Amino acid sequence: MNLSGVRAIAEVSTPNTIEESKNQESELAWAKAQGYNSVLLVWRGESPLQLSSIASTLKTDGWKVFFAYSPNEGNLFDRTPAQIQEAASLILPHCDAALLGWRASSVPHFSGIATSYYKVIGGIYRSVKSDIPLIGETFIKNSSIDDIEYSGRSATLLVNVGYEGYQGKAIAGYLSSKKRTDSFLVLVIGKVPYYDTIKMIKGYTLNQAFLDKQKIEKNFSSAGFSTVTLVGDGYGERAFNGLPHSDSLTHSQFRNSLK
Amino acid sequence: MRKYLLSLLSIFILNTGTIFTQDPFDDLLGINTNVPNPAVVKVVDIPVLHIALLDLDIFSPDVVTFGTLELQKSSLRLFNVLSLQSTNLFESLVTGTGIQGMSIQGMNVSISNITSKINQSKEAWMANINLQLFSNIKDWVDASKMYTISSKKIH
Repeated sequence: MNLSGVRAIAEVSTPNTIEESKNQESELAWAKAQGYNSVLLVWRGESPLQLSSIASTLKTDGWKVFFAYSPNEGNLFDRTPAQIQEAASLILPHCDAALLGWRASSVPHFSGIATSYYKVIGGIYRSVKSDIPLIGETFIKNSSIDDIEYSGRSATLLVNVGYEGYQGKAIAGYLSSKKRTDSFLVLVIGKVPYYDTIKMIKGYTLNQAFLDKQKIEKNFSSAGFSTVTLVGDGYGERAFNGLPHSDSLTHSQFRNSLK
Repeated sequence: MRKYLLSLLSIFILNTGTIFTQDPFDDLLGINTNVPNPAVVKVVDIPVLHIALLDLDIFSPDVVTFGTLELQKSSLRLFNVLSLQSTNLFESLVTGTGIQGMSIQGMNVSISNITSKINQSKEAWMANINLQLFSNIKDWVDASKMYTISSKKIH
């Protein structure tokens, strides 16, 4: 799959209120003005009708749409294959590609072989849309690689390098040394993983977070990678210290980051 | 449901006892190291524990005991291991090869977050985490026999 020039933003998700819907639309309009041309659409097991409609609108508006199913963080199997199939049948027709893993189903959350899980997920997607490109995952940690073992992947999400200090050209060289010829989509998060929650970096403003994300994007795009940038710190839709946290465009305020 | 769980229990007693030849759980759990032969206990009993927590009334306030294994619920990592177990459980059921290993990579969950989960009532904790898992996982095992994906790349 040719990912050349892809600059994606994440996560587009199902809004719970009119305000959240408006917020997401405003953030997307701002993102488009900033040069983002693709979105990652994330389904978390809710009723898929609204997200299907959002996917359709985004496609009509010219976005390249990537899809991911994000299982419950505490229970990977909280939705049945039948439920996933139903959602995929409504959403995937509007999408350009689908990720096999995302968040709780990211490859390091498995140990040993996880081919059965990804086979079910990929099989569901292909049963709905037979020509949907499937995107695998490579997780780099301490100079080791964890992969979704699927030779038919059309591209690969590259995880755990989209932080300050990682050099795109060095990562490209490392992957080349491993004889990896995939088209890679680098997940960009920011200064460090969980900068806003677990790491709680003091004085780290929204403006600085946005600038750091852009800097990391440029670092990797100049090395030939495409990018998908998360608007949050990676902690997801969970409360932290009793306070809500979100990585969704329904809650982000990046359009205000440069004010 | 109970019959199904007991069959799972049997699978893990058979599988985990033969797959592991060394202890892969070093430093993962708040385990009482005074138990006899802790490496063997850990290897054999942890998968069973996950199921036992669901089906048997052993969820005491501070310590989970199963056989000779004691797990401190205040252990930072207990929740992680139990959660991660589901992925291995699924693969094990599909492949029949037993649990292949365990890792907590990428699971940097805060102490406060873990504590809040542990402090939930037994009923809430089990309902949130386990009951749904085991009712759904059979569907996943069935689905693994239905779905295939070709290795053909689509551009």
